[in-house]
Amino acid sequence: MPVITLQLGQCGNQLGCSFFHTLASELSANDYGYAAVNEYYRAGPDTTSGIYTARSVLIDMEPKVVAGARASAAASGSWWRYPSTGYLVMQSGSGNNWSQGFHGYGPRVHDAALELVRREVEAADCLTGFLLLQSMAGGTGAGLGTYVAQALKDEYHAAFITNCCVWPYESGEVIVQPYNTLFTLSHLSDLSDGIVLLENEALHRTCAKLMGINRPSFTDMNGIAARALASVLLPSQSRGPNPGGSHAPNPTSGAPGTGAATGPGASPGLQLPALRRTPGSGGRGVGSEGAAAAAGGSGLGAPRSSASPASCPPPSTSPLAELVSHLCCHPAYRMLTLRAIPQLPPSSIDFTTFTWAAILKRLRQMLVTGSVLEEGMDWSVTPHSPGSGPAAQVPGPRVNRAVANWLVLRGQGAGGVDVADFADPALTAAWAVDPLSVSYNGNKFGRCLMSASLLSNDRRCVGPIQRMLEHAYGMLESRAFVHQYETYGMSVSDFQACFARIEDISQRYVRL
Amino acid sequence: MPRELVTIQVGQCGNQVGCRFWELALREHAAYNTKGVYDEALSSFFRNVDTRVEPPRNLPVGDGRGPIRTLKARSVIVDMECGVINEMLKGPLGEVLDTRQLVSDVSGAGNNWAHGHHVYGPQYHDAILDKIRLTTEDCDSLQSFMLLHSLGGGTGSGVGTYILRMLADEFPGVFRFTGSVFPSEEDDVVTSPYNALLALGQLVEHADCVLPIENQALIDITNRADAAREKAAGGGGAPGGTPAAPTTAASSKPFDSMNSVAASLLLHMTASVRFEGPLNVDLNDITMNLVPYPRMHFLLSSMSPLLPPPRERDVGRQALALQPRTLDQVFGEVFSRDHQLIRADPRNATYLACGLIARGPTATISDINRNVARLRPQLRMVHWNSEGFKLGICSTPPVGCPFGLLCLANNTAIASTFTTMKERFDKLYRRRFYTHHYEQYMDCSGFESAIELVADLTRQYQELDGATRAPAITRLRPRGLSFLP
Repeated sequence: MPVITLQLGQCGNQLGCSFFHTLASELSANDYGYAAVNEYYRAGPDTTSGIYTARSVLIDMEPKVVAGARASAAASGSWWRYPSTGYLVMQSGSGNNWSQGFHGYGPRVHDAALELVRREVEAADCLTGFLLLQSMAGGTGAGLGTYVAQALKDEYHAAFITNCCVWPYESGEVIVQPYNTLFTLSHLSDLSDGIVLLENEALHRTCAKLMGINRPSFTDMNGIAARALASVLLPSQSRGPNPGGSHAPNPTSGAPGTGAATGPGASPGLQLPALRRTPGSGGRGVGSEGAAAAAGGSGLGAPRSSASPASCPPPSTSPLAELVSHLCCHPAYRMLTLRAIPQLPPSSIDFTTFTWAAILKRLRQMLVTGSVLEEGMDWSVTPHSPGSGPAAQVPGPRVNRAVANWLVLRGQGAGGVDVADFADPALTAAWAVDPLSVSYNGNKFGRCLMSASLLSNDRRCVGPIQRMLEHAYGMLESRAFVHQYETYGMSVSDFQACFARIEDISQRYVRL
Repeated sequence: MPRELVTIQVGQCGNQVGCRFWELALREHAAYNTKGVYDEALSSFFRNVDTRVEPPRNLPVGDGRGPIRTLKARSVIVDMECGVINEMLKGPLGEVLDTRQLVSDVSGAGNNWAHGHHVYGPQYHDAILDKIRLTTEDCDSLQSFMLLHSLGGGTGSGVGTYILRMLADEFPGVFRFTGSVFPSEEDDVVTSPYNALLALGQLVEHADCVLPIENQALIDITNRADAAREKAAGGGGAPGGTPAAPTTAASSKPFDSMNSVAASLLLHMTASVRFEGPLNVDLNDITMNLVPYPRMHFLLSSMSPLLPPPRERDVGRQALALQPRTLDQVFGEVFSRDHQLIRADPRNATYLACGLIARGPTATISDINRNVARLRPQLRMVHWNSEGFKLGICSTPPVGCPFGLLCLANNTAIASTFTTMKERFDKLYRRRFYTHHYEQYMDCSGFESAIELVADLTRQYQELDGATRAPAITRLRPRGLSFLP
């Protein structure tokens, strides 16, 4: 079920390039099946030579980065390319000005951008949705990216829109980043079905502390981010949190419609996402009833279906659809945090002993403390520590709490590991409908014998948002840089409306 | 498709700086364009012309692999006396500069701003506009104009600011950058305070971004470089015997090195436009991030390395060892007063915004962040921008060095420069010395309005000077939860 990626702006294009390279190397290293490749790549114009084309549209307001991305894809040795005409560039850049990207360039490139997307959509047999890669601090990724997201929402109502937004360094990369970031966030919170925040600061620390790179460059950081994204977006199949409670035999045994590849056992139990609610599986039951997942089997992320027989095999869904429907079930809560471990320097992988217990313990503590780094966590914090309830007035909540979590396990024995720790009710909000989804895949990811990733709809975003908001208030108070935005038709009331919306979002998460 | 910059050089100083600029630009592109193809980087400053046909035909960039035929600079040259231009055209740059883009007269503007602005300006309005239009029509997508001039004379300041106003009217969407050479204390033109202030009033109104360059600062820089070179050459015995090194430096034209510094500034600023890098900075990024209020567009620049490094055979290994070794050293230099192109004291004033553009293949974002974190505590930043720096990284280093750094700062220290200019102006204006020369061509309201504009701006800067503590801010109530207590 294809996903179309849009790479917007310099950061989006560089990250996207890295993402496709990572996907390609993982797909070549392990056999995930044709459907997995088909999700992100389509058979190229010249099928005999085995070259695939990435399902991607590249958009930037200045030409150099797109040219670089296309050239790196075309470098010898890789089996994929970017589409030869699937890119849109202008000449003069958006000047780090959100309103220039949104109000200035947006309408100008509307038709051309939608045309490129339409071509990709037509080449996809059944569209799941869009993945937008962008930064939040600049002009193109932030402003034009938001405009494109809005245009896609209008044009393709039924498709999911997931945004992967790069949060800038707090020490500043762009002086007007408070404005740009908050405008992007406030608009996307209405448009997007899920916003994954990748923080530059966190990526930097991961590179420096865990990967042993002394002076991380953007290439290194993009590599880490791309691996984390790939670890959740590559195929996986659902299971329950308890070992052995996962595979209920699926009454429907129709062969899947798509050319699914090998996988253990029965055919996928498939249901359309909207109809997935089973009686009694709402709430917090984590017994076998709520956890009863249909058999996986196709190597695609099959959703959890009930035990009730489905009449005919509906189309399978992909991890992206899984992601947004499980995690972002409430319109006010769309901010997702991505944690992928282990983060090891490539040279140490062969010398490391992997155990599920260690990995899962660390991952759980990362979730409890809200950290995205594997080390330096405060192990004394537990979900039951004070400051975790909804009435907590601490400015940055010490204990993290989520709306929903999605755990992906990859590697040896991933299907049978006990992850009941993650199903602890104290980790998630009391009203959460679907607090934990687990899926797994037996293939190794990135040469690590075992690895786990967690995508959670949690409070981690509050800290960075509050700090950015303070800066933004300070600037707006002095009306600094406001005239640059007013050139393109924004006014001070737009700024204030945006800040109010952001306060809204952040208060919701604080009171989780 | 390239993004072009058109350079307009006005007056003697402007043309001399422009001349050095073209030489250095050719040198830089020659260093990186080893195959002699006309690529996009070259096309931002030069046209590729096939002179075999008549009229000469412009060759487009195409796929970036066409060979270079004849390069012509995208520039318009204006001077009211022909001495400097003739010399330029006779020299090695004669082929690169196009006589079709030349506007000149014979008698000069007599160091009189009013003569330049109110007489020559309108007189040559059509001719100049024509030449500019011709140049812009050759561009696929024009990004900005760069005006090179001095403020102390008659042509550069008078005609230059007239052209600035004309560009603001005729090409409103294109950025107008100016490299303006401010007169120094010991300027040899008596009326330079008048010219400078009158021109400054125009710059405040019509320029998008001004890069002030002070002659005195350039003199200090070149003297220091010469002294260092002499010390190194005289100290150790450089191999190959270079007792001739000091004399070769002295025998070159006195303003040559000074103009090189100014020209390097422009090259460095546009490096990220022409070459690629992990974090590109366009010219409109610069105006967006470094200009917080519409008229406060004066940026203090400082750079390292300042001068293109001499060749080893000229100065020997010891002198070459004086070049900065690490990126951290370069950062330290850029924030020191020795490397500024204008004599102000930014450390004792408040930074409104600061932009750093690093060049070099080994510069990474973490290097920049580390150095910024190291140096920021020593800087006084305005309260609403206490953290922010605008960063840019370009992969191509300056010629002959492994890395380079440019700092463009919007700092309230410029107010003291303006105050000094105003004082010098007042010394003459109090007694109305020489004003009769100006009143031939304009009435005294011209003086008054310039005084007012500059005073206004100075006051704005001074108000922000002490603004390092944030006032109390009322936060907005979240929309969705407004019913909650």
